Amino acid sequence: MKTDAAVLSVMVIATLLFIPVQALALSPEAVSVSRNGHFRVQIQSSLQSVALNQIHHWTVYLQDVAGNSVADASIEVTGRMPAHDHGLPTQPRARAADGEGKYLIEGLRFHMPGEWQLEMDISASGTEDSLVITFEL
Amino acid sequence: MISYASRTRWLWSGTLTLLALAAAFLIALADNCEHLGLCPPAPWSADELALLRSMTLDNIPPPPASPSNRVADNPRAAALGHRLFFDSRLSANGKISCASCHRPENHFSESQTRGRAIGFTERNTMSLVGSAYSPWQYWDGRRDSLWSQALTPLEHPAEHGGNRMEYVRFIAADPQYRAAYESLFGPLPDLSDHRRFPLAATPIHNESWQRAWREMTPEDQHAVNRAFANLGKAIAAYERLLLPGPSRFDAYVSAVLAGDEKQQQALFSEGEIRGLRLFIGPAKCIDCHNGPLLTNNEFHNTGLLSYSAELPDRGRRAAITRVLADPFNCSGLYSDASEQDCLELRFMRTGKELLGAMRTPSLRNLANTEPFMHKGQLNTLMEVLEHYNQAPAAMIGHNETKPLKLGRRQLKNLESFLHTLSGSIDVEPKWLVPPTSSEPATVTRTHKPG
Repeated sequence: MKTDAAVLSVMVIATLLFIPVQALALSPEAVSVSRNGHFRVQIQSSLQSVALNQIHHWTVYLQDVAGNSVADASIEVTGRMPAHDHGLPTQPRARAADGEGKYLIEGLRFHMPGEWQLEMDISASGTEDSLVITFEL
Repeated sequence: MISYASRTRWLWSGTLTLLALAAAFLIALADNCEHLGLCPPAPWSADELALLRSMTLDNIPPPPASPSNRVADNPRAAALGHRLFFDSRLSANGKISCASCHRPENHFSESQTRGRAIGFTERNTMSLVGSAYSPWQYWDGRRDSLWSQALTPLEHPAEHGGNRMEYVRFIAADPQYRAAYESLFGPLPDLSDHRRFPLAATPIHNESWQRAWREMTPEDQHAVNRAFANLGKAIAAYERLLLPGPSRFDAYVSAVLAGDEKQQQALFSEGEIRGLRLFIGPAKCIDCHNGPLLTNNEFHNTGLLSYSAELPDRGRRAAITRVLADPFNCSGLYSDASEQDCLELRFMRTGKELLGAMRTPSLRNLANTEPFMHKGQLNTLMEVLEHYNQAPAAMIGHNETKPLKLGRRQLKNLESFLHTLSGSIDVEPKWLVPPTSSEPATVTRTHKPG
């Protein structure tokens, strides 16, 4: 019994050690709706959970309100920390990945723990809208 | 004459007043113990434990790949780089090596206000330990790899003061260097025709060397540049071995995670625990000094004064054009990376918030590296802490930090904690001294993470 408890506690500690601490879960199921309701956005990160100080990309699936993929959008990405007077440490850019509503936001890196806001200004076929994702690292 | 009864009354009321005062004092102390730095250490919360785990070397991954340098992790390249690093013949006066300023006994930094080589450098020498983790080199990030950084001082008149043509000639003329170089990079260019390859030439700094360089054909310039770049790549392979070893702080966090209270008490004083709590809490040091190296390697303006009688340093803002113009950057002709691999350069930010911003240095091993900050403006850790406590307005750009308003004892606690971050360098001792002539190219770490 004692051995079992010891093994269990070692396993628990080992599991804790390997979980990235500043974890941001970007669930593929979660759908965000843009400010004026024109677009639906799903996001996946190339890092399983977003860690500090690692450059990586996000995959964005863009749909209109009816759930149809939006293929011809341009997306401008900016980010900031409301508690500090600065933005992202990089200048990420979005580009179409497959011409069918899938986009890549490349060059993302977060360098401080705390609250981040990532803003996407989306423009497609004359419709403009924006989306702010707020998360804690 | 005072009666016995009234004397007793006096005594009682005096005692009660004293007790009331003592109680008020204790309540005030309890309310302000945080500010006075006298609170008994409380157990670490779940959030604090998560932060502590994120800061230890136990969780550090190997240095990120260096796609621009195909020999970055080649032990034979590291052995060549080790020899080059300590060789003072790679200088105009034969007295300056990389180790002249990046001194192993000072944690590959030095205890000087500014680097002192042939002349003085513009800024304080940064430590090389753990620099393989940084996407940018120098205080202002004007180089984007260890190898392109290593080339820069070799030609700077105030540092090694030489030129690339002479360095390549030197390697070609030394049988050991030549063999080591050619086994890694292939044949050196044939420099025997002095009409094509002058004795001394480089496109920067010295006017007569520049003139000689301009008379060369682009193909011959390219051949010399490529060999020169390879010397930087070998030095970088060596520098990538210089990683921080565990400190008393790492041992303390292990003891905390294991719930070993006796070991915790043996490792950390109450003051050091209070300092650590401030570091990850109200003092906000962890905002920038985060991760196992206690740096985000990013650029921040923290309102430092310029060096006396100098204009304020424009920092990162001025370095952006320099790193883009560097022929040895990740996107350049001498890089081994594809354009797709140069993520940091491709997605580099610009903007006025970078005016006066400097790269966050690692806080591991601050001992013997004073004075601090980019110009060595502050002599002691306490001066640094007082600077952040006051957060003065920046002379140029905008100070991102805000006054901490910590008490004297809290600053002392923070200072005590910072001293717990010193440790050894995590590589066999042979790499920390000049190499012997027949060195086997093996690398063993003294510390096994995880």
